[in-house]
Amino acid sequence: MTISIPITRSREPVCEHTGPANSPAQVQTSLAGAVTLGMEKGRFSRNVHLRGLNLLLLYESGCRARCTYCGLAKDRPEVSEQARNHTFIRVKWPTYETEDILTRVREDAGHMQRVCVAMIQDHRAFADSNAVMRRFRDETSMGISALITATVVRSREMVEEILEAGADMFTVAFDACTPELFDGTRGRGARGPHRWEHHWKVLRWGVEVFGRFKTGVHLVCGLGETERQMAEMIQRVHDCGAHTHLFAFFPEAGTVMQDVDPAPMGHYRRIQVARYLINHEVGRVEDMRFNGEGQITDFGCDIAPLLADGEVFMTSGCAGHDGRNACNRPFGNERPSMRQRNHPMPLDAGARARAAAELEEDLRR
Amino acid sequence: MSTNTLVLPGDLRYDAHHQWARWEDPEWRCGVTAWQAEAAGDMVFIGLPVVGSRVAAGDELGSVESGKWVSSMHAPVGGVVTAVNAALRDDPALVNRSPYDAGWVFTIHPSEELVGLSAEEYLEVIRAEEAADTPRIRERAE
Repeated sequence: MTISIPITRSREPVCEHTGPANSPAQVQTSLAGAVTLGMEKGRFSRNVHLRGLNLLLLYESGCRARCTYCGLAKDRPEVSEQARNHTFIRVKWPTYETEDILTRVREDAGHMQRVCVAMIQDHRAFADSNAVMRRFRDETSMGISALITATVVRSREMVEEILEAGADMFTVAFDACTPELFDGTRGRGARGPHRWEHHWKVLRWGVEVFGRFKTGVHLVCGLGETERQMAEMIQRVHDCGAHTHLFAFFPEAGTVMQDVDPAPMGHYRRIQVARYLINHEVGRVEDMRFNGEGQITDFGCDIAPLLADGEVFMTSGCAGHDGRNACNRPFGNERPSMRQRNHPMPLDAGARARAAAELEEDLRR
Repeated sequence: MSTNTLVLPGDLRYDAHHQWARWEDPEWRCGVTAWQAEAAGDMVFIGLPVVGSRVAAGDELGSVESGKWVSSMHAPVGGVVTAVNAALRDDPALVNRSPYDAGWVFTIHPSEELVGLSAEEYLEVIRAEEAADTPRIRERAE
């Protein structure tokens, strides 16, 4: 006998915005955020809970930058034709009314402790990001991260405005870890607007205005760097007074780097350990040893306790009210069926053992 | 609150992996139940089995994956995989839009009798799972 099951949803899915969309009236949210807020159907593997809401400004004209690895790049055909509802970091980023997102957050933010408002490259992004953050400051209890596009921030006073708008964390997406890689993927070499030295200037303003370690730097592993270059960048950022948050490059269709393979798992694992040691002031890059290919062969200290604990392999990001990372970005780098470079939740014994073994992958002694 | 209706057709067999199987002599056509598709969200990747592969009942032979979730597919019966739905390679969300028809996943020529669940028995599986977890969707109390 055929059975019809009437079902109810405790929260009704919200229709995505249709028609022209521009921030601050509309914003994009990660699929994970939309699912957690019940705006989009879906569920998470492994009982993962999202701890941070990622929002992204958008404009009909799209992002004005041309980063060679980024799904938002203005030359990506899909983006040129339709500046919304596209994929970014591999998955859909649905567009909603900002008001609808705020309503859902006020009703029930679940496990989410923090919102991250990300600019894109557009002259309107500075004011619009501040407008969105003010709404969250005034209407929610979430911590607020400003993920700024350094190129649109032109003075220390603008950084002060971001603080006044409600941000308690200030993050700068460098992504690339050397001036040459930066220029080739984001700057002149990519016909893009971003400049390495300006990003450093803005980061230093951020440390001055927000305070030491109230700032963060996004770094993407797999843009062509060696492990030594990445570890040296992490140390330089840390010595400047900022944390680092790691991401893994995965090729996106339609981008300049669409045919480039991700960095090997071992590369990412070793950089995760180096980052953890440096950011927790357990080790320094000067104490690490490298082979001729720039791979880390010795971390300069006993890492066995880190491997036994597993936190070192968890997603890195801004902290929540409880002091733990609130930006856990579940399945943000790779599909849920793939080996996870960033673990969004504490690792079980099996995952810890696998991650420890991966630390040795592709390593030439 | 929003309400809609999911269907468990009476002519199908089901299993605890949230799969269905329809007898189309001489083989079983198999897919993902509407309940599973509704809970998972839009599918983004279907790992299809290899045509011609010989499987035992319960063997993992593929996967269904939405943006933030993945689950294995299993052989509901021992036999040989005779066809897969190639349309799912380009349009995996067919599983969401038409779970019992255009969104079928594979066919299998059985070497044994399929032991599956009736729609009524499968409904009990759903109820037990939803009771054990915080439900995103739940059967409406009548």
